[in-house]
Amino acid sequence: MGELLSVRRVSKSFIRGDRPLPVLVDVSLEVAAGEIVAIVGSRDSGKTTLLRVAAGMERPDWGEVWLGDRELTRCSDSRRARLLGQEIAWTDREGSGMRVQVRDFVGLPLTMGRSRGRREMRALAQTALERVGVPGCAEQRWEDLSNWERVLVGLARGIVARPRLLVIDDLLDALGLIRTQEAGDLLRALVAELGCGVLMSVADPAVGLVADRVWSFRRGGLELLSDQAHVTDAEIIDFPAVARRGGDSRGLGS
Amino acid sequence: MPTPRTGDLSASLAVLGLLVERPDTVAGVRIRLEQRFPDAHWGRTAVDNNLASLVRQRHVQLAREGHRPTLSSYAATAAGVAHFRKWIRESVAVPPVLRDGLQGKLSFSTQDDLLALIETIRREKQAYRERYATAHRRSLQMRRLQHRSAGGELGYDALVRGVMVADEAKLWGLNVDRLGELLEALERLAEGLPGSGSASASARGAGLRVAPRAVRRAADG
Repeated sequence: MGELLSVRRVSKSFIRGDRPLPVLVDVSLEVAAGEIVAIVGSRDSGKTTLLRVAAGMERPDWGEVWLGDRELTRCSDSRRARLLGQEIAWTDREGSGMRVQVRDFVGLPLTMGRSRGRREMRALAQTALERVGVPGCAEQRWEDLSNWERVLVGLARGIVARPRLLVIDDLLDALGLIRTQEAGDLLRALVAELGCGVLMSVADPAVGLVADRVWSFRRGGLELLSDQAHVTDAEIIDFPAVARRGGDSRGLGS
Repeated sequence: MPTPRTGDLSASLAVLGLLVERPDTVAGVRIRLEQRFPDAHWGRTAVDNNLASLVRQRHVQLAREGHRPTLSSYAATAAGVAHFRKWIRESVAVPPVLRDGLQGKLSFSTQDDLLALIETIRREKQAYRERYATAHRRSLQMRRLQHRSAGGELGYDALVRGVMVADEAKLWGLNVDRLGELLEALERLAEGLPGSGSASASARGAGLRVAPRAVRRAADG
């Protein structure tokens, strides 16, 4: 499987007062098409900066970011903006900040980098909302949505432009274990349908379970927590009873 | 004041729980105990010893004698089922006691122990990371199986097992984070102590991952 996203030895600092604050220090990671990669780290640890650099929304001080065979770090701002609308999608739990209907909020990525009519945009947004199971939210406003609806609407916004790379910032945290699994299952189904790669940030290591590969992010650096990208079906024999009884594992191991 | 409890699952309760689920032979309980709680590391004689004790307490009774002791079947008694259900539903009235070995080591350590402690924590962190990876693998496998067998509603057991694996992963992940912070704190301590040049160099020589100085300074605020 070829790499879709390749972040190579990236560093970035911000100036705070009279001294630099290093946020990313020599960070490298890759995401393949069809793969979900999670970055686990505490709040304000710099995960969002890493995601923004990976998505081409910010330039690193050093290092390279590649999307397929294109080096994002060498693209002009306008070119990166077009890619962000057409090939890379960004989603999080933040609203638009404007009093717009959900379907317009979901369709917003479609306005970046290409011209579409309002009717087409709304139709595509409605399709995306239906796919994630909340078509009824289309005419509501972000502020009126429940936490769970915001997650689903966020995912709809992520897939509306059918991106190659979906970048998800802190969308799946604080949902509880069952909801997290539901969201993880939905995300995996969407990835299978679109063939895209996903890079997501989470604060809770349990949320990282939905990914194929999990990195721990601390003090500007990445440390591999778990790589299960190549678990084969043959290894599933660990759970014979679940397989035999269609999900009922009461007799596990018997 | 109530007696503090550790909150740990005892081998006795685990054996009783398996027999509450269904009667089984000694050999069967051994296999199920190992498969159900692969990380508990109870001794080889845990089932035999606890079965004898459970029989004495009348929580378990012999259901059918086998031609070998390991093939004898046992079943939970009504009292055993009641005892087990009570344990499941009762709350832990006080937080678990804190008898963390690492805290004890830190408390008794001297400056001379610091490098060895750092190395110990590094190994513990690696062990937790491996546990997280195992839980991650189990979780993905379970999700795949559940999808494959989809069509019918998932049973309670399959759902609760998914919750358990996620809870376990959270525990291991949080421990990786905790030990990471502890490691960094002790490494900084090692650098700040008199004669720290050699200690710091030794820490790095031992393969310790020391965050870049600029990052540590910045993080110190």
